[in-house]
Amino acid sequence: MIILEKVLNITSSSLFNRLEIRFQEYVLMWRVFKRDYLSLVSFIVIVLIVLAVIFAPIVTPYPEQGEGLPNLESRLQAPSTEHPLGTDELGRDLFARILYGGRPSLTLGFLVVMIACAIGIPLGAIAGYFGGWIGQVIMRITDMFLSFPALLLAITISAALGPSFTNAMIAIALTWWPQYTRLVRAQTISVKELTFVEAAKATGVSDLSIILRHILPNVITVSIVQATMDMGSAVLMGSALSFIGLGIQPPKADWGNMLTSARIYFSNAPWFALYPGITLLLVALSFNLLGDGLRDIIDPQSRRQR
Amino acid sequence: MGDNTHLLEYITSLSGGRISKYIQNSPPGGGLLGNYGLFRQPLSWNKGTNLNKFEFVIKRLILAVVVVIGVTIITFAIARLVPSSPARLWLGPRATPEQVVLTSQKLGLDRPLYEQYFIYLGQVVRGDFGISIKSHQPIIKDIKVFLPATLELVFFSMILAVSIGIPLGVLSATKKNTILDHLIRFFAVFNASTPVFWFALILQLFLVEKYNLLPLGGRVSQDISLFNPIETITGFYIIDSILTQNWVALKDALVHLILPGIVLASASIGLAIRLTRANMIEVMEQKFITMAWAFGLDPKLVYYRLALKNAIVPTLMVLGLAFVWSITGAILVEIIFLWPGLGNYLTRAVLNFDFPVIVSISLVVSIFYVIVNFLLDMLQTFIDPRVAIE
Repeated sequence: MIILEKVLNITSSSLFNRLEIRFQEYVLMWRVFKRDYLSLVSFIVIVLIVLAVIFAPIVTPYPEQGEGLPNLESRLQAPSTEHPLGTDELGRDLFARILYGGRPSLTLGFLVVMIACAIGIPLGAIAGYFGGWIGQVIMRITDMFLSFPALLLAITISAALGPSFTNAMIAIALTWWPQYTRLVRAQTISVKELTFVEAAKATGVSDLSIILRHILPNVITVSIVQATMDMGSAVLMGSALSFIGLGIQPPKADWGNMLTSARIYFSNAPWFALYPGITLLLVALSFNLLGDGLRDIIDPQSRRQR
Repeated sequence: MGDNTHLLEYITSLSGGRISKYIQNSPPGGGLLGNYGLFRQPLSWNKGTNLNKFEFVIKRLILAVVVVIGVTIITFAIARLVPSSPARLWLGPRATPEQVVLTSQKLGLDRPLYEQYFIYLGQVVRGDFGISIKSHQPIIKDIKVFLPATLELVFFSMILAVSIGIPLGVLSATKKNTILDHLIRFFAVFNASTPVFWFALILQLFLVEKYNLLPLGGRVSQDISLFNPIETITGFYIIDSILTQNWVALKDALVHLILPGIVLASASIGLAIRLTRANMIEVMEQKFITMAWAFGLDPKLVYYRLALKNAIVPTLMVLGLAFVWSITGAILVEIIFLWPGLGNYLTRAVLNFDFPVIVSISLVVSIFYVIVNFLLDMLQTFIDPRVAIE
């Protein structure tokens, strides 16, 4: 009985310790994050922009112009108190257009990264864990996709599928997953040599649950950092496709096709090109800086290096 | 200094390769001189591995060929499978069913898929990419005209990126965690996250519209193409105008390169700064640098002759890849600056739904990409002795 009690005591205390250690780690992470003003500011910027875009009908007094209703009396007006960022070529309030344009742009960025993770991470884990011919086949396919420059492949695929928002998203996601496969595979290979994986194998845990419960939690953090940084680049690429005319179609706006129409008027109405671009820049910059900061928080190695 | 020169040479020989490899791979905690065999006869890993290097090259070559075949499979799949009826695409919407069947036979679309693929592969190997739907011209002829224009722009932007990015990266690494470092790093991130097409518009707005400093777009101005036309020898205007000693045209072509070059370089500059900085810092933490500091070497020598020499190889390798990425980046830049290159050709094809052109361009660029990748791999294997062969 005494022995049993001792055993219970140890296990419970070790569980408690583990929780405490984890808690301490989170506190530490938060402290590092708080100190990193750049990341904190970019996080706040992202939250503000996302909230403004979601609650666009409340934020702007011209929701129907944001959706695309022309207002021909006030074409290409300079910024004023009535229209804080000016108006576009069909007289629509630019601020409202930018907010409504953010909906497809941000959705595309988010979904592209999610789809890419959903394809890339499992493939990478499988390739890294099993190795052998499965790994070879997966990595060769990955190499083939990586040997297309991403923008070009995205243009080709979305031109093949026809210009629309969904097709642009599919096209970009198809070019995006291989980098996660590479990343996760490299991580998996280093993790699977560790003793706890060996121990799990020795006690007869199945391959699937080793991957799910022992390997993925250890490799996922790097992917999260990558995904954060990629969110900005995906938004940029989405707007690049849309700029060429392969994204969402007018009268619906996104930050890319707004710049397409602004290009024609940019000597008369510079604000029309200026503000959508600044929004785009702000979003991409914030995600990049946030990803940089997250890496420092998650990876103490690089934290020390800075 | 004086006395330091032989020490410097000695440490350079360490950092140059063989021994620093052992330093990197040795377990931490040992003494600097004792455990690492610094003063022992260095183990020559080249002696027994010559054959392996050869095998490595062959292996890489086979891999490159496999990837190229894979690339053709993907482009073939996109070209033949995605549009519902390639023959209808050729004939337009008003074609009769008989015409569609006839054209299908002419294009070989009625044969089994694998046969079609091998025919396609044979054509690609012979440099025949098919015929443009819009202009009914052989695509390879158009590509030969447009590719030099794009490459000229890309080369120029890479020169800019290397000559601006690497010095800034070194500065940032040597002044680590100072205000200057933060500024440079912010500049790098800023460059990497600026939408290219927007940056181009803004530059046009401020430099061209406001102050009329530089031409708005195109490769040469109209007077030049009328009165001092550049003879086409290589297709690169800069080279051609030097060869024909057409100095007026050379100046004009250079002026036209500046704006698109800067815009295209912006992403690569960010990359170059980040890479140089990271690699420099990594090298600076190694023990031979600590040793150099301990010997009291001049900081300039430590930074430039020891650290930079080691940091620059991996940086240049990645910049080699950035070169190919820039070819696609050029698509957007070309549209805005009306640069008559591959990007403009591609966008026109996209708008006209000229499918064979789109697919051929992506095939050409990705084969280019694979070749550059392979060459860089080889270069790195033979230049940098620290690259261990798997």
